[in-house]
Amino acid sequence: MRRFAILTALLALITALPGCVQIAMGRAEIDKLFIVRLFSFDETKEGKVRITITTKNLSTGEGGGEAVQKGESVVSEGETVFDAARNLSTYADRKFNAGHTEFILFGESLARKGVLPYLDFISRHPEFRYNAKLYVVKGDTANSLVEKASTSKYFVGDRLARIEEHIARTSIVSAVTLNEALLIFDERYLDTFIPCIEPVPTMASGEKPGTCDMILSGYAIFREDKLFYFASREESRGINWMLNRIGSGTIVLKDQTGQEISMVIVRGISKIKPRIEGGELHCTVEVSFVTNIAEIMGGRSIFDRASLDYLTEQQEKSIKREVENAIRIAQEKNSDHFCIISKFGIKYPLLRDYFQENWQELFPDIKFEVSVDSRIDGTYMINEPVTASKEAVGE
Amino acid sequence: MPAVNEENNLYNKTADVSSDNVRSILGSNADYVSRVILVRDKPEIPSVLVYMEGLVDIKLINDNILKPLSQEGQFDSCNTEEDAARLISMGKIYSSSMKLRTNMKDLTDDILAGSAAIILNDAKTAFTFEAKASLSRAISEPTGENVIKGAKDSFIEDLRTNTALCRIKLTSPYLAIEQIRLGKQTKSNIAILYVKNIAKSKLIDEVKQRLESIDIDRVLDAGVIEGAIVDDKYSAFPQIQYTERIDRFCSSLVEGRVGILIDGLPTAYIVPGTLLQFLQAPDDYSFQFIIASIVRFIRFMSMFITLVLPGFYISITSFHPEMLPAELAFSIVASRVGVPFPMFVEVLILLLAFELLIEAGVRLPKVIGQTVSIVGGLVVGQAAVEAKLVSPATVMIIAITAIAGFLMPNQDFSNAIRLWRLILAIFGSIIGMFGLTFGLIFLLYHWCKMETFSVPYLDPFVASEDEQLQDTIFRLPLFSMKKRPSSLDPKNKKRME
Repeated sequence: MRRFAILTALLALITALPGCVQIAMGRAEIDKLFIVRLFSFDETKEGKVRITITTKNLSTGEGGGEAVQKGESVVSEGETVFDAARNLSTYADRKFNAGHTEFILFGESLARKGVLPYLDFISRHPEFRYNAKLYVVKGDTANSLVEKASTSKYFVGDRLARIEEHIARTSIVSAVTLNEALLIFDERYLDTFIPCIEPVPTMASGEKPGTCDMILSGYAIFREDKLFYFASREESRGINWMLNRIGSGTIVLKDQTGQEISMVIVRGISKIKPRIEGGELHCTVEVSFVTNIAEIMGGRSIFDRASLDYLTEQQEKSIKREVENAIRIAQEKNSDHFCIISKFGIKYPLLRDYFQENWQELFPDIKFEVSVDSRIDGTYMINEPVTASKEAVGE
Repeated sequence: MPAVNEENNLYNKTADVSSDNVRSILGSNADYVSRVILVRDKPEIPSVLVYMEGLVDIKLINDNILKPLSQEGQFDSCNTEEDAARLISMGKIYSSSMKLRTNMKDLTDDILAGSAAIILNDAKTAFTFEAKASLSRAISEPTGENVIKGAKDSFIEDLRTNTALCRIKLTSPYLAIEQIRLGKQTKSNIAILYVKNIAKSKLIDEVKQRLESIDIDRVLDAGVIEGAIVDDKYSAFPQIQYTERIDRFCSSLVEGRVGILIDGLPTAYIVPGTLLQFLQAPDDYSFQFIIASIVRFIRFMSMFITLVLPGFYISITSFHPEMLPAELAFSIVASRVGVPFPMFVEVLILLLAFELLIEAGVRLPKVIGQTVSIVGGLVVGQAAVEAKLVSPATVMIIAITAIAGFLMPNQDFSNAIRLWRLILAIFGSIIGMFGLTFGLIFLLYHWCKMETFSVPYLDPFVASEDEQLQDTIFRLPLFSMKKRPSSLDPKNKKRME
């Protein structure tokens, strides 16, 4: 009897606590699931919602055949997001499962109309992961990009994943997760930034006409939940400096004689220090970074103190220009996507309400001072320019 | 041939000793030999030599019994059977194991145990002399417990040889060997071994009491004893450790455990047996402790893998696919294309096939067994995958499960794990991870409530006195194991100062 009582109690605990009924109902064989990798939202010409879900179809290459990875998409339309999502079951032969959704794409026209209803649907859906990455498709619909970017060999999701892996090498954009975007959208006074991808004609041979590649073309800046404008690549890197999201990147400079030198950013950090002086808002942006000399496009050696000092000065000017440009555009458009209001709010908590009420008027008038400090650290084993004469090298 | 009832009447403690009575009981057997011997050729002193052919060494009988009785001068002085009995009891026959028998039961038992008997009918007396023929095989390497470093001898079927082997390994004067007989028909000798100044008296008494209370016909296999003396008779998990290795057996005795040897079986039994013992291998103590610890840890991991993996695989592929890494999920989906069975059925088919292969491998002769493994594992396996009866991913999962299971040093424990693996797979197939968790909690509960000879089955993980974890998941250096297991409550608690 005692054993029976203990067993019953254990069973009751296990079945009652996690809401087991739903779990038992949720049984589905993995091969009967449409495991979504990309979730794309668009607006149709009629103003309806179009959802495109894309999975990866993996053939195992049996019988010595080549393993092929292809995308398989299902498109559904509806009056609302929920309606379109429900209609997916009409078109798909399997139950859709969003637990593996890695990318969520928004078409440009839909992004201009507003993305919050879609994000709201995603955030309330039990299967989506909050670390899914958001992208806006520049100049096209998300559905179109998914179709065009699927090549005969590679699945579009994998191509996106590879691009994202190398995102830090250029620091033009940084990945924005669903969680981050939702947090920023919650802040009424902040503008959200989501990276955008752009289809470009493919350079690969053997692909069907119309196949395209994808490039990261900067940030899409949102005001409230609507696409406000597309930041250029240069401005986007400036935004990344302001947000302290720089991984690496290149700076192409000219030395005193005009030969081009490629510098690579090894590491960099930035700090924004807000202050109020004489009733005015001031912000000091302190940027410091370290570079290596990656390439010398010429025959003159630059490994002397004067040349290195000159290059250091040039790279600081270049980065300062990027940052100041990003600040200028943001202030011109009155779009605080640098979270400046939060920094003032933290430093001056008693004025937080005042900032929130008047931020639209205050932000364009903030006086920004950008100070950049840099160092050249290494040369990647370049001792002399590759085109230097033997005499110059000393042999 | 006497009726069975008549046999029963003769085979008791009160029946008089006579050659006719012996013939009544044993005479109908083809191997029964009886011969009248006249002591020093005197017709007035007849004696009857009785033995079972094959059980005795004829040369021993000729040289040590017949020769002194009929040819040598020791018996010249005797004129009656009483004189002969007196001279035999004085040791005139060359045997160190002479026994005087005055009732039929003892006499018959001795003859059947391999002794030769001299019966003096008028004196109603018989003498038995141990003259066993050597029927046991030579000491060989253990077949089920191979070690790389360590002794290569193992127990054989002869009890006396086995006790002698223990004496050789453990020369302590405190090694005690007690013997009882079990089995109404087989009358098998059972030896109980322990080290007097270490083993707890209560444990020794408990073992003896449980053994003596066994009421059974035959003791020809280990299961009889094992099944009768364990605490939890309905548990699939072993509660008695068995070993073929003499060194392992003696190590356990020195720890304070009690050993049981059964005549006719080449394995020894050690009580109490706890979970940890079934995960320890003799080689653990032969290798350097870091290596031994890694191997021991891998063994614990493999126990968990072989127990849980099929259930876990069913759970995540049928209930929680989001738990899989995305690429793995796509690979599993791709591998299952065209397979008509649900995941649970697929796993069940493969587990069943695996069990069939194991059974076939064990029952068949070694050479054919290997062929079956190759045909079953490779040919049929490959064909089943190509015929889309099972998916390659599931085959891999079951293969990993099987290989992990082979790491278990104890076959009984491995069998129990196989059973529980199936139970957990069923739980997992009903409500996914929650079912699997429930199954694991249930298993843990089962282990926790188990006790074997008053020692917790999970000892020393649940040791209350001092945490003796030096020899558990990891095997620390031997110098750190200063004390014997506290749960055994040994008389001498310290291994070393």
